[in-house]
Amino acid sequence: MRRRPIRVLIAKPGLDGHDRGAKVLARALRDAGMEVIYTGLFQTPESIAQTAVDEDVDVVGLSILSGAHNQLVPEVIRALREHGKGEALILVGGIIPQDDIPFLKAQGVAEVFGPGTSLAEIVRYIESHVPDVVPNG
Amino acid sequence: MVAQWDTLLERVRLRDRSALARAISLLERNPELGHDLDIERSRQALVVAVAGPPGAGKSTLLGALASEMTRRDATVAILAFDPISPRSGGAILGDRIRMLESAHHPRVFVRSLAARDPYGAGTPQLPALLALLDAYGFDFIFLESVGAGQEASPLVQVADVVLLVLVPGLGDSIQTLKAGVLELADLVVVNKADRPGAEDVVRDLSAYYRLIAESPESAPPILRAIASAGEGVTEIAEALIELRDRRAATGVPEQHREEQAARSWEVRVRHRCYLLITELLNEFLAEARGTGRWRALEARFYRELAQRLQVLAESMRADSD
Ligand code: B12
Ligand SMILES: Nc1nc2c(ncn2[C@@H]2O[C@H](COP(=O)(O)OP(=O)(O)OP(=O)(O)O)[C@@H](O)[C@H]2O)c(=O)[nH]1
Ligand SMILES: [Mg+2]
Repeated sequence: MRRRPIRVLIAKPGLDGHDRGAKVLARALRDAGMEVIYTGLFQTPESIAQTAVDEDVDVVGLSILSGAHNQLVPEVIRALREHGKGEALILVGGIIPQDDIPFLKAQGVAEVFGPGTSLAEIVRYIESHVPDVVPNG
Repeated sequence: MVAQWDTLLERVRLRDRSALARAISLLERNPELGHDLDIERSRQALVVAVAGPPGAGKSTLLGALASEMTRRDATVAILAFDPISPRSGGAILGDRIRMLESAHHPRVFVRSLAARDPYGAGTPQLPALLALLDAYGFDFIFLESVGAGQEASPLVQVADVVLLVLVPGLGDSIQTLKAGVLELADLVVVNKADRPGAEDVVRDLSAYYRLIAESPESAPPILRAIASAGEGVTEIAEALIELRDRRAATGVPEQHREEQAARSWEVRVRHRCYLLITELLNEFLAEARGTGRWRALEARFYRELAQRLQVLAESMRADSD
């Protein structure tokens, strides 16, 4: 068993009302033993970063189905780095065209999960990419 | 680890928000770090436990209260507990979503925590967590409990003030609350006053407190609110500020201080024992499948438990040097 539960922030940046995927994912991660903080719709990059810091999460998951990922993701990552939270595992899901994935990864996204990804696969990915050690202060 | 912890504490005292966030995580995972913290607590902050039935509007009210407090230049910390799923141990921590308007204010700090024990306090480190928030220098620390809150809830035990949130339409549940938290409430809010029946609740509560209160002054104030519209929040904030000022003026009586220390100690010991037994029991249950020798297993369980308690005792001895 893990020494501690993995803490995950699921956020929806920008003007995007599709929250089904985010909610399904939140429940799946809870059922896998993780602590999930879901912030709801229409979050700004700044508020996502501040929440990630205050909640001291290991993973920041962005769910974007609006098509604005190429603009939003770099903004969120910049805000995270400014707040000293650049080390978080950053994942993106939703409607992301294949061609955009290299750009997002170059920005600092660890992995991108599109429609139809099995929830078990996402759980496995997170479990194998978050170290089971106490982070340094 | 300890050197790192000391640096982190230093940064917390300088009001470094990310250091505070990280320190809370470290404390949750390493109980031994909290040993000295809780006893030395200076208690600048007024610690308010917020209890009430699920969905009463506790989080919404706290969000609105936090905004109101920042307008008065006060700093506010909110520890919001949510229950874990007993099967997976995971949790969806959903209180924050009701506090988004105030949660990013520089003078407001919200932390969502998973309640990992049946008492809804989440962690045996609760007293140490409070000390940490106190070191940062918050004026108010709010603890949002899981469920209705009971007399035995550690959140209620460690708090200076208990704020009870009730709503219309609970039916007979005022009756069921009676035995527990009604007596402990220092302030009662009847939320969702936009709904029919709010006046009935206020009337029932007033009648109840007339019955049990030793004097009219000792009955808690009953305030109405519509948290989702921010109505009635100013009055609640003023009542809390008054409680805090009164305490600051008179100081915390020595007797009260000792009682707090004793309660903090009780909370910590009770929860550590609970976690220790649960963990060991789970290990035994995992291997128990298929065994027919229950008595032998039980005897071995007690022996192993004794050994682990011994280890715990040794670690305390090393600490007290
Ligand atoms: C249901 C739906 C809606 C519902 C949303 C209901 C709700 N509350 O969520 C409604 C009807 C409201 C809606 C509205 C609109 N929609 Co719509 N909608 C869909 C639809 C059909 C399914 C989305 C869905 O719920 N899927 C089920 C969930 C479980 O899957 P998912 O979100 O993809 O999540 C999975 C993965 O992506 C991944 N994942 C998702 N997020 C995350 C996050 C992390 C961290 C990780 C690791 C993984 C992950 O894991 C999940 C499990 O596999 C899609 C088409 C499609 N096939 O995707 C269009 C679609 C998303 N919608 C679209 C559009 C255009 C709109 C509207 C603008 C239409 C309009 N003109 O009004 C509006 C905008 C609404 C708004 N305010 O944003 C387009 C988007 C086009 C684009 N981005 O380029 C799509 C792709 C349809 C299309 N082919 O054109 N929509
Ligand atoms: N009509 C009305 N609805 C309200 C009021 N205050 C809160 N609500 C709504 O009540 C619902 C529950 O509010 P929360 O703040 O999540 O309640 P809670 O007590 O924190 O709930 P738990 O943490 O799940 O126990 C939300 O939909 C709120 O918008 C109010 O004064 N009037
Ligand atoms: Mg709540």
